[in-house]
Amino acid sequence: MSLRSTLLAIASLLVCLPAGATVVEALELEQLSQASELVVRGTALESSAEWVAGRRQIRTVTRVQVSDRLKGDPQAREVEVHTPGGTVGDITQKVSGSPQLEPGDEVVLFLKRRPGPRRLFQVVGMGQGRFSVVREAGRELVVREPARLSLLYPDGSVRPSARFGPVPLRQFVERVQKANAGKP
Amino acid sequence: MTKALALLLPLLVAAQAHAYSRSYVPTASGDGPCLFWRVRRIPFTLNQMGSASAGRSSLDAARASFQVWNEPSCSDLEFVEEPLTDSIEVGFDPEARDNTNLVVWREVSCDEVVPDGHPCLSEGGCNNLFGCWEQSPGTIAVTTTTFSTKTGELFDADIELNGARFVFSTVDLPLCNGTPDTVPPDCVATDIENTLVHEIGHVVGLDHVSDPEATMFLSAQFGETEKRSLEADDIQGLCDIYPVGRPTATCVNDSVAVQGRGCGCGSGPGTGLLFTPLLVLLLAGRRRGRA
Repeated sequence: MSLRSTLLAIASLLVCLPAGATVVEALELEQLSQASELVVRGTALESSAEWVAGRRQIRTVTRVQVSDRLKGDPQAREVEVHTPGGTVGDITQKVSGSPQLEPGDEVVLFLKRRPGPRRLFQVVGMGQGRFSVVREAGRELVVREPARLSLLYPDGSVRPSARFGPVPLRQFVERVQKANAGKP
Repeated sequence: MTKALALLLPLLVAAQAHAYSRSYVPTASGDGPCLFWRVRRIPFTLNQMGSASAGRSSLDAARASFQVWNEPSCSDLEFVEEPLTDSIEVGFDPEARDNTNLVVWREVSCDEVVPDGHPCLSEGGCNNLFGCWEQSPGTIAVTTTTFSTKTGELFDADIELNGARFVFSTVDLPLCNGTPDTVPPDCVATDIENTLVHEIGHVVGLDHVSDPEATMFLSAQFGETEKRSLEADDIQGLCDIYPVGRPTATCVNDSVAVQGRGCGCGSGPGTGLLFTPLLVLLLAGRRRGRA
């Protein structure tokens, strides 16, 4: 590692952490899978944020191109994902703990349909239901960085969300499908 | 150069070990400006219904939670209570003058009260229309903050607490037996002050830290009440950002000049002084590369 890259790495220790405050019930991968109507692998295409509910709240809708369906509607080639918060003009609104999707992100999403006429989905378990797909030495891996979440466990303890993975994509898919074995 | 780096490393590590962290504007690259309030008197208001499980004592517990952040004498940031309100609306209206920083309990899930087909079910915002809990059911509380994308200046911060699922309490003893959604409120369940003092830290502009003793640590035990008070790192963060009689430490250029230590992100006192030689070393490396 060069001196410059070493220094940059040290400097990164001093940067801020993203905002977040939420304590949310911990969901294991199998629980996430069972609580989802649709589990897809895909790529975020574009996001649009807008004011809703009398202009007090911002929501973001992100189009996700589906490359693989791990659970749910086998016809889904593209889904629209609703996340609370976002940026409209010079104003940003953040709802602590909600997942973020940026165009180009390769992800596995655990989704639940929102009621209403428009076919919109939301991520299950806030940031817990969003995983990244990364490539390393020619292998596809699934990881989830520790979101700014505290997780509430059944014994009542609250602990920081830990990093998930990296897990080979194939193994990840098998766990999801096994959790839903015998279910539609 | 190597010797200089060797001397610098332990200092950097030591500074980080007992540090507070600031929240920042989320961007695709993850390094937007830090959040801050331009004013030192921040109004807040409580929804008059308080918590159904804890009753009227929930309002006193909420007031006490804000007061905790008013106490350190090294900062003149002050939360000022406005009259109780019947407002149930969180968020921010850029054209309104009556934006308020609201604390409100949601006692029913939106799934139970919103009529089928209502537009808010797909668009969002049912919480403001029906006073219900709209987020993931297993979430205890969420803070909605609104701020300037360019500067990080905070405009509004609202806290919603999930009374639809969780039992909130204000008593000191005894500890409850059970889980946070099943216990009676006359024992320490989800302690309101423990929850709110931490949430208000986010309103101030602080983020979670790695020190388990700090109020802003990202962990707690069921029935915990230790986070009703501030610890040294929390106070350090508050006072570094909003020092009494001195300008607010922002991440924008004018404030850097005033404070002389960058944005103060993730820093305790003096970390900026350590950060400066780091930049000097980086710049020296760049110059040498060009030569």
